[in-house]
Amino acid sequence: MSQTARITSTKSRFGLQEAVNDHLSTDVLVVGGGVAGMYTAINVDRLGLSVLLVVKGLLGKSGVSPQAGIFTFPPEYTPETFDQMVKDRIAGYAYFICDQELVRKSHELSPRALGDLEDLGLYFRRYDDGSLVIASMGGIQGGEMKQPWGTLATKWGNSGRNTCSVLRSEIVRRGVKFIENATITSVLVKDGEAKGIVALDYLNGKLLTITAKSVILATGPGASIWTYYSGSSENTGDGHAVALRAGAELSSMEMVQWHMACLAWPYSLRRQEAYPFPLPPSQQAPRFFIGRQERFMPDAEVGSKALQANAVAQAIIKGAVNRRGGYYASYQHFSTKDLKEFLGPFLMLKRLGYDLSKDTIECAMSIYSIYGGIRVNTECETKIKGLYAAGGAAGPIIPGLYMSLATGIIAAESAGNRARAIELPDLDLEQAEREKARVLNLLKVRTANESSYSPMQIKKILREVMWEKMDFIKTETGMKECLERLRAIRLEMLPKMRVRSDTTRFNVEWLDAVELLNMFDLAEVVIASSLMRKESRGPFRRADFPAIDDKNWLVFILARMQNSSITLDTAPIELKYAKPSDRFEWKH
Amino acid sequence: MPSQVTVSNGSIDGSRPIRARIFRFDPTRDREPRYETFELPYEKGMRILCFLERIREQGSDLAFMSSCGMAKCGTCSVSMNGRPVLSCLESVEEDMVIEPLAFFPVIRDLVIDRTGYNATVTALKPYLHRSEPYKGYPEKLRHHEMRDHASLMECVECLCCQSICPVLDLERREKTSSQTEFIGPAPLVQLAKLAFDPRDSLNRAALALRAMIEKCVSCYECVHVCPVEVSILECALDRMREKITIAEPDSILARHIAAFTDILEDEGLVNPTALILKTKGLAALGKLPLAIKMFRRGKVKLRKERIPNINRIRRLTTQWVRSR
Repeated sequence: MSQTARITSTKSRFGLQEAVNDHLSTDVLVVGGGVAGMYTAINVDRLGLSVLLVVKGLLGKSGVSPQAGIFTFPPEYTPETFDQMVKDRIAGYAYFICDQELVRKSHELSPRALGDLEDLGLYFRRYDDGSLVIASMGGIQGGEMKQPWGTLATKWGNSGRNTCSVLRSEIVRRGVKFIENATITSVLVKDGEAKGIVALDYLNGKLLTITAKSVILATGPGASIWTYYSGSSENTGDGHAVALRAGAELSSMEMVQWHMACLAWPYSLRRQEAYPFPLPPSQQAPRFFIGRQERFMPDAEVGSKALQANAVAQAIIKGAVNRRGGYYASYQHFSTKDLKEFLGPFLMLKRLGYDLSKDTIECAMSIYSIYGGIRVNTECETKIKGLYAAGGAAGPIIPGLYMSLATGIIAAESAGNRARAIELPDLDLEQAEREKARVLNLLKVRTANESSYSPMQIKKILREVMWEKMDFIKTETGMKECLERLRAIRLEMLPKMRVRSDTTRFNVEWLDAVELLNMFDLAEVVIASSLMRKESRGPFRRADFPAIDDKNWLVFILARMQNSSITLDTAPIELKYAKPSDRFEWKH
Repeated sequence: MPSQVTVSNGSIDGSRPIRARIFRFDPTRDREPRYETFELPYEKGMRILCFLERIREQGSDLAFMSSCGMAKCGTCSVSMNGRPVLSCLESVEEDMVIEPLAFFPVIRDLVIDRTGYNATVTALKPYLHRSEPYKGYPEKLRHHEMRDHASLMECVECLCCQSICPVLDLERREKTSSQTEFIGPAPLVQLAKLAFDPRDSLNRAALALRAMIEKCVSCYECVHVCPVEVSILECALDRMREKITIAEPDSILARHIAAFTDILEDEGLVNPTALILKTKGLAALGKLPLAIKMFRRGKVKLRKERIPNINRIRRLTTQWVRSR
């Protein structure tokens, strides 16, 4: 504990952190500072309960929420179009791998959440006549916009960031307590119930124990285990890993969605999506080319992630393009005014030297999100009592702003009900000390040896192996090789992992080491679940099983951790609102 | 047919490696900062963030903050060769000195402490105060009413402007305390964003006066460094000052602006003596010793001067006043 003691004397100027003791308690604890985390915390605070937010980065300025592009929820609908929208989402977005009741419930809660955001001040873009700007995402057929469609705050690509900014202000206004630069390392569980967490405050170098009546994980989809991921690099699935180790289940982690139109380069901007969707007000689609001249992906397919992925898959199979580039997006047929007004990245791309009114963008594939996640029921409860998940961390869901907001309402209610009914649990000192010792031990692994590795070096290798072998189009051999490689890396490299310095002040390598162990667990679940699903479904593609198989694989694949090893199981899916016969006519 | 794709990297042709001297400092251990030199081969379209990430991937424990990597979170700003930049957007240069954003306390290496900034913004009540209760989604709003608000929603609070502002720099040098009177451009953008929201009812003009907005000298440094091209002066500070002339007409700033316009219309050029007298009234007598000194040096003239093209200037001034 010497490290933790040393730091306390020098931290006085960090105003907010000053209030942080080594041990804290709260009614409800929320982990994650994106839209789901912040909105959950606000809703818990409204219930009159005490709430504490633990955020790995800066509140509202980290996680994947700032990258969200659009609110995929229409401002107007009828009971019929609502039913159709829910069906479309289940069939065309989740490919039936979702809890249909939770999807429907989330859609029912969306108008309330959007109204809430507007009440707090978020500006949904209007035209001068006062009508809302509607953006299409579901593909255009015969010039008509198909459902689903949504609203923008205020441009394609900026909606998440602006939502974060409004929610952050509300957190500040309400005086909700939050701790920035602190990552969860473990959920404390006793007798099958969550009692609190251990967190690493890597700014001050302190290990915090926080007891809570309810713990909500809103840590995002955790897809930063591949080299190219369109979310943020810190989204390493910490919530998934701690939930798994605490005894909760991860569901459908093989359902990974891809972006087909990210920038091919520069490297650090590979996360930037070109937003290959119809653009208001003309609702024309951007055009895609193989090489410099050959058009591919008809307008009708631009706008649906599934159809885009399908088009690129066909082109990859033909050998015309690859996931590292070779195809181009063009916006030259739009007016500069429309690009400026409605396409978020336009100005930023201009600064990079891409003038979208003249140049084309070389595109490449990138991981978009994992639709699977910490398994929750319709109340956002996990298998562990007192442990909940919201937003991208929960699963399987259709990730998006509206889903993060809706689960933010549901999780707050469930967690709040529990918090009202029970007493604050005691801290299990022995368990907490054991976990603290584990995390502290990561700081001590130091050898002056030349053959040692920094945690980031191993992270990079893990991501490269995943990128190489857990490809868009997978094979059994490739996936098995991937699993073996990762296991070998675990055995050979982890013992040689070292952090360069044992300083406790913003020690990024210490944080890397904590994240890395989470990434290994998450990657293993993704690979094992993918190996189990012997079909191709939506974005989940296998060369050895190219067809969809509803007869055998219309199931959830569940992963659990037992004695540090992953075991898999399946669970049936209740087809309450949509059946495979409702499916769009995707070409597989 | 698509044209050639380019990602600009200025004059870099890639024949030389990229070299950076990077600021390293751990306040809990080091007595003073040091600089570490890193060299990496050039990559196509390389940004500063690529460079920093590559360094980490090669085993350095350099601490820097970044999240989205696409100019949305505003956390990766650093100072490159003395210029505040957003590292995900800014091209590398062949020889760089990379330091934490100037004037902020350093947490470690390139990571700055934003606590002070956050406290300043919080004091400005950065949330909507509705004059009327919300009536339900979607509420009645037209884009032209929200245009100014929307343009300021582009700000990612990267604090580049805050670190380049020369007025803040001067105040920090003059004051012993870390608290400056002028709060700087970044918090004022947040204030202006709400001031231009027609749904907001709080007297933001009074808050701007308390924030010493009049100290801004309109030097455009903040506008030049803004990586997301927010027109900090035209869209935020100037418009805020206009709002003050209406909402707080008795304030010194409002009187100053009125006097400035009057004198310009009357004489065609700015007469500092008249400006001070009209703005401050009798209180200007307090500056008498300074005035005498300036008179001796020929800086103050008592006689009214009129420039030849006065009518043209009057026409422009009237147009300008009317346009507001």
